[in-house]
Amino acid sequence: MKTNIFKTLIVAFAAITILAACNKEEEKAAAPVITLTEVGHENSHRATPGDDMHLEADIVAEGLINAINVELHLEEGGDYEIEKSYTEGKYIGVRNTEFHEHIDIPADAPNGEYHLHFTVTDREGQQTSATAHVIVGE
Amino acid sequence: MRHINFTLLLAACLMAGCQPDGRDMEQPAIIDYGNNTCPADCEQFHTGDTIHFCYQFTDNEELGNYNIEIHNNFDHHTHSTSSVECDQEADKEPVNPWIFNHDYSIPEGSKDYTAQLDIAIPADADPGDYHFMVRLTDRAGWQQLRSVAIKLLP
Repeated sequence: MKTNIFKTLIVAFAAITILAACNKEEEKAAAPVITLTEVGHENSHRATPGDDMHLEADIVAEGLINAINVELHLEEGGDYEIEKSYTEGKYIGVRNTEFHEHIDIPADAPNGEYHLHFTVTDREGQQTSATAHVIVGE
Repeated sequence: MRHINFTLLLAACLMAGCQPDGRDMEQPAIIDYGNNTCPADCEQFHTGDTIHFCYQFTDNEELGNYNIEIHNNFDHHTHSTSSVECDQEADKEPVNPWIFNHDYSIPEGSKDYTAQLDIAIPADADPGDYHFMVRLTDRAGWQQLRSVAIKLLP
């Protein structure tokens, strides 16, 4: 009888250990990871008003991409801003993607130094941003 | 003895439940469709013509959807997936470049799918070098990219 109780205890212990180990699998997905691979033609970090700017990034999002937001704002001397959001289509609901877009830089964009903020939000609401400097001008 | 058997059975059941819910970790594949593969790298088309898109898609579990996007390569940029260099025209500024971006569904439960579409090239599109991008996503969200260099002739 004693042996039976002992064995039952071992089984119970094993079960609890394994179940506890299992819970770790339900941990939150890792936050999105962004690698900016090209900002401006051939990664020159330059753009020209009236032209488009190449923007390329490798994105990995275990929690699946829900939105991508691109913001380019003048660093000094004004609040000029170019913003573009992607919330549907080829980049959304995916785990990995190569983002490649030609972002229009309006002809009236003032010359100067800009900050680029490239933000990815996953379906769990986790956000990652990558930033870069861009010079707009001839 | 029965207890040992029971222990083993229980352990096996729990371990099975423990697998990371059989998560799909494989990307889908975009494969040539023999001689019918279209567009092929460096293929040339005339503006106003039709591209008879044809590729084979496969996945280990289930395909999801795909997207075709076409953008100009007048400045001759690269993509991580393009391995072929074609004869390229001199760099130029776009005037009326062809921009195409469409999502397509794949029947549910497909592991294998032959994608065939007719894509009309606008007659007034700028001729020149273009990138034809195919993005295939499986049900788990893994995406495969194929970038094909094409040329539009007037």
